[in-house]
Amino acid sequence: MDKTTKPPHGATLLLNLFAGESDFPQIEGDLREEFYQLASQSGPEPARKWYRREAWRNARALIRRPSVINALVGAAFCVAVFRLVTPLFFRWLRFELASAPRTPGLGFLLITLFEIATVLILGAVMSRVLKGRESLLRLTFTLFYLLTTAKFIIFSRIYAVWLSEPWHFAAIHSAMDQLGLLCVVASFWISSLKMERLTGVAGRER
Amino acid sequence: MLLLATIRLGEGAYGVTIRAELLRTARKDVAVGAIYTGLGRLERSGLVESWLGEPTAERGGRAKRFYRVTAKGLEVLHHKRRAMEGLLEGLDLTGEVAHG
Repeated sequence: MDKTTKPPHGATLLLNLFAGESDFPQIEGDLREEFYQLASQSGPEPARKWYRREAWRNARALIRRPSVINALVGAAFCVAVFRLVTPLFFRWLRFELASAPRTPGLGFLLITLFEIATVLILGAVMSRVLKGRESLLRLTFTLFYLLTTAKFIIFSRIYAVWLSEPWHFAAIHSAMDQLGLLCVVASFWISSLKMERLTGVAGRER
Repeated sequence: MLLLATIRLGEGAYGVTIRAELLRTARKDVAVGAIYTGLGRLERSGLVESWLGEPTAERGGRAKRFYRVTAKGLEVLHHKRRAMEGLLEGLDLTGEVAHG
């Protein structure tokens, strides 16, 4: 068998989402052992195909565990809090700025800063609560957030506004919206990764 | 089934061998993650106990976790076997299957 034969990268990444599980080293080790046995018997390609299939089957089995469900619920909770708090702040800000002298871009800047601060807090707190399942939390938060954004774009018909504008305005507005979206997702990832590193260092020092 | 497969394998019961035993004897192709979920539950109930083996290169440096059935686990199996035999007593399963 070729010593460089390795399990498929994508399947390994999928399994690594469950790296926080206490028995993950055994699961990964067992899959690798069977992978190398199969690769030496039938060749690398059938072994890689088998590994991909097993990665999906194991992901389906592991996603039913209460600890993994907690991470999914945690991500959904973060998105729900964010979606609830941001419009309230937006409404309050619009009321406050109504009497202030008009400054172009101020509202957008304040809303973006508020969104970033909210997700920084949510990402850090939830990563602390769901220690060991941070990568699953980050990925599901991104997925849920993008899904709710897509739902908003479709149901609020915001795309019709973009289409009705001259192309350069539409480009600016859509770029600003995408920048806001990127800021939210990136802030969540940064705070979650930071908390993961902090709790990891604290765990090693103990 | 996990308990029975673990007993059949003796001291060599770990994820890969349990999976192979279930496939060979019960024709059940179970994901190794599901096996560990079940074994974890059995261990928390005190029906099995586990220990770590040595890490090997072919497992990517990961150690095997071996399992063995405890006295409590054997007792539960005996109890279940008696209950099963009691329920099966006097039943003509071939007839039931034919009716079904």
